[in-house]
Amino acid sequence: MIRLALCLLAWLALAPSLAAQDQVSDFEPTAAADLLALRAFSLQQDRPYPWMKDHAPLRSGLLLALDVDPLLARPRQVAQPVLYVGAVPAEILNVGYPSGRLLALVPGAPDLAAEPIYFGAPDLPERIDGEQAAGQLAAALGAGLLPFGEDTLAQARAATGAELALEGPRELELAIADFIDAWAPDEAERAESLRAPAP
Amino acid sequence: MQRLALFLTLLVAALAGCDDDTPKGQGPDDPGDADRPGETDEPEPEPDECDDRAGQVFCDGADAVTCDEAGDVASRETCLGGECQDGIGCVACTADIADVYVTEEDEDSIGAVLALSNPDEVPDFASASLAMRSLTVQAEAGGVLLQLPEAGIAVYDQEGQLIFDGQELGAERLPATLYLDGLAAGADASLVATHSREGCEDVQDSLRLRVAALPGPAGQPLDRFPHFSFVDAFNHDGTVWAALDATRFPDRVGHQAQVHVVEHKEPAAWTADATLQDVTGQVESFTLLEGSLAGNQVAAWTVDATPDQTASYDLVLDFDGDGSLSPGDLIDGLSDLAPGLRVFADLTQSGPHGVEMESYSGGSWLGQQLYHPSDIADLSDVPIVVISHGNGHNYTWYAYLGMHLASHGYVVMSHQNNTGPGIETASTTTLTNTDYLLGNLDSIAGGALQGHVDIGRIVWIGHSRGGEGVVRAYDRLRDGVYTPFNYSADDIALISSIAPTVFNSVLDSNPHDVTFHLLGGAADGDVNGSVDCSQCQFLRIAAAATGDLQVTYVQGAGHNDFNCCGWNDATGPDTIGRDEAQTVAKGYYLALLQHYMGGDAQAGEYLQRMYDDLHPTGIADSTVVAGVFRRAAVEDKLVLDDHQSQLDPALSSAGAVVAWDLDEVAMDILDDANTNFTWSEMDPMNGMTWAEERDDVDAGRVFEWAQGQEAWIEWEVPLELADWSDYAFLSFRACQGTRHPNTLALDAPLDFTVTIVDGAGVESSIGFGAWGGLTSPYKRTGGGQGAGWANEFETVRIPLQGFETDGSTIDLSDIAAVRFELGEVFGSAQGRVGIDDLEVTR
Repeated sequence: MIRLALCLLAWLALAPSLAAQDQVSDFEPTAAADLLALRAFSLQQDRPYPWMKDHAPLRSGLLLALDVDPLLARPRQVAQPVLYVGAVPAEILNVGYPSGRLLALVPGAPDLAAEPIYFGAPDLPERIDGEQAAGQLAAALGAGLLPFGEDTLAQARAATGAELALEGPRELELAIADFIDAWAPDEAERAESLRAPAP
Repeated sequence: MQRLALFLTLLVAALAGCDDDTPKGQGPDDPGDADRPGETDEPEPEPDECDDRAGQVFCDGADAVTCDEAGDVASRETCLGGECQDGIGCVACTADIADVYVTEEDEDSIGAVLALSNPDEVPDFASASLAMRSLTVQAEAGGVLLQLPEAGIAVYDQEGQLIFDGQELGAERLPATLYLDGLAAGADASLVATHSREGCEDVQDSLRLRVAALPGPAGQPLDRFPHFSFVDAFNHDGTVWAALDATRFPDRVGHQAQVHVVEHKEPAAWTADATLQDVTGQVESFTLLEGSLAGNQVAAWTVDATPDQTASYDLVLDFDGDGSLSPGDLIDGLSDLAPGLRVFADLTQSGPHGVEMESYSGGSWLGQQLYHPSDIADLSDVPIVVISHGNGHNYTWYAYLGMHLASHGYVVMSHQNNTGPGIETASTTTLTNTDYLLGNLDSIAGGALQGHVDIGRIVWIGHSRGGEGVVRAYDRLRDGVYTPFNYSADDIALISSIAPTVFNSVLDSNPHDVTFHLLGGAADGDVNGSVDCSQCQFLRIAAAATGDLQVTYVQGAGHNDFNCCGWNDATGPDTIGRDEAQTVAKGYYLALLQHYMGGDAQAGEYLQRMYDDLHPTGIADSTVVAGVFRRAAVEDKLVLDDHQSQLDPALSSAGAVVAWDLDEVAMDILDDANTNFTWSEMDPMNGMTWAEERDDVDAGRVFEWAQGQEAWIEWEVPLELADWSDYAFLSFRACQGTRHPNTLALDAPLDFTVTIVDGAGVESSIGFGAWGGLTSPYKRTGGGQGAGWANEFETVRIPLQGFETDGSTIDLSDIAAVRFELGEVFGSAQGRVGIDDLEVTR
């Protein structure tokens, strides 16, 4: 909570200057402040993963609930800092601004005890290839960013239920809606919009 | 024997009478009559050739004899130079052309001026003749041979049969009413009628004819030359004026017309009922005077309609005052294609249709929100508008636009847009969501749309990343790298991007030749248009468009003002807020759709006329908008200088000389050379954001003039581009140079004078400030020292007929030069200007 407050203070101080900027230049990798929840899921059908160049469709992954610097989460149209889990850009599931509560999806089963979750340089995720992502990870590690500890990971796992066994992309979308309701309730409208019924 | 004696006596008397030339009653008394009771003693009149022809005229050889009622010869005349006809007498050789507006004396000097018509607009003669000029041809006792102008004028008889050159109208057809239709403006010509009777071949009458374009007559006054702006679009709270240039229609000088504004009727309806049912409440009359157009205009109608009333009208100058449209009257609006004028409701207000909204999902990334008219069942061929939101936005955030457009009869669908990964994914969700909608018309909204929408007229509107996404989607369709199931590139009729990003090269995010619109805010705090952010310089996409292009650039509008719920990023002074920004959006999107989807020519004026001249009434007076309009590259237009075919400032792209009396003229791509807006002589293209050093090619030129300086720059017009007679506008776009000392000193909208020069050296000049000035750049700070954001191009379109006003003898078929004249006498006292796209357009 204190970290979140500090982040908000930092945002208030920086907002006017950054508002006039177009890109975050000379970006320093910045770790997610906290991991609140994670839930594994699996799919019976392929689901595209366009958040990284040439990434294979996914059949499994993790849903993450993070506390981050709201300024970094703030959705922008120009290139904005990319959230990485290790060397893979994560899919952003909500707005996360101004709350700082950012929900994300990462494909597969990354070892969160070994890989930091952080914001890397601003870019469009669909343009990021493996080499670039590896470079971002190296920069993050070089900056001293660390993975979350086992306790945090355990609490995060405990905060959710068992692995979700889902049929396909649409079921995953509905699961994401539930995840938003649970972890970013201020964005209930977004969750609801994901639940729109079939025509 | 007695009987024989009596016979002989009578015979002698008769013979004596035959020898007597003395008229009856004038001879010596007849002794034999003196004894008849009640009669005088005067002698009996001698019998003559009139005895059986009382009151008649007959021919006696070459003599015409006129008999009085008493059966006596009243006169005898030898017919000279003609012939005698029984019943008529001496017949003169005469031929006469009579026109009610032209006196006999003026027939060969002023003549009759025909208003230029468009046969495409009025296909049948019965209707077209109502706007033609009629005249009467007659001759005495014979026919006429008609000699017609070589070209440009069609002559019909009363049945609508075309009269051909050299055709004879026999005596049985005279007097004949002929109808003259002006088909092409050109040099004066004459209609000649020659008496066709033998011996009369030298007898002719002629009428000088001219075909002149009839601008208006509806329009509105200007405070300077050319004194009047002939336009067709009026706001509901405006005034419709009528004007006629006496130098164009000198035959009407001195004649009075009743000025009627009537509900628009198609030509066939005019034929059925030509009565002028005036809507103004008071019919104004107006007498055309010699002299300037400034003195020949009248306020015909103070509209004062409610803001929800849009209606079409025709304006008629009823010269014969008979209360009906008839030949010789002048009409604005006799057309199958368009009314004479259109009075618009406040385009920012809701329309007449109720709206139903529905949300549904067709699966992953196929969430959609649909807005459609409640009475969709009664509608057909309704265009479909697809809205693709921006990053971090939601498809539910555009209800203001969906509700507005649906209330005006459009189907609108806003969809989940996968903008997070980037532009390619955004474009994919635009493509797939459009496909899903079209492929599921039988189930979406309970099938209400099925059979009522036009899947060949799809509009894509995208915001920010979605704004680039829709352009990228179209590019993928055009390049054949994506093939939908239910539509193709040809079905995308219009694309509009709201403050789009420019991540891709404009070769990949390219609108190609689709009609393109861009809406942007000068206070945008995200895709801010600044020179230090190539992804933000959204005008680069507009520059790449080769179809019809329009830009609506709104001072004080932030990025998320164009949706309901994005964070408030507006940055700068006098921000206008979400409500006002959306008011602008609603007004301009409706104009855009009505024009391009609805075929409403007049609605296009909201996009083509300068903002100060016409904009939706719901927009606040304090809001400043700069608008660009550029005709498609494939249109038939004369490009005098696109500025990018070559970059030598002394040459135009047409290869002709450009000369100037200015300190300096610089030419380059429209790209600020550094990353700030601070003025520097080292960066003549300061503030330009229409190009970047990549694949962009849009270029222009800049120049300046100081207080007290008079200056000019002139484009020579090459011969192959000299004939402007079939075109309507001289068009260019221009802007003030941001943060330049002259701009700061002026601190006001800028204007100057445009002069055209014909091959004979005749000049005509128009100061475009009559329609509005180039906006003073938005005074946003940041991006260097001082205040002023990106340069705001605006299109100036000067009607060519304006140069002909008041009898200017400028020859539009032979234009030799275009000159911009700068300085206090010609407009703004000082300034720094950028220009591009100098064209002559339809």
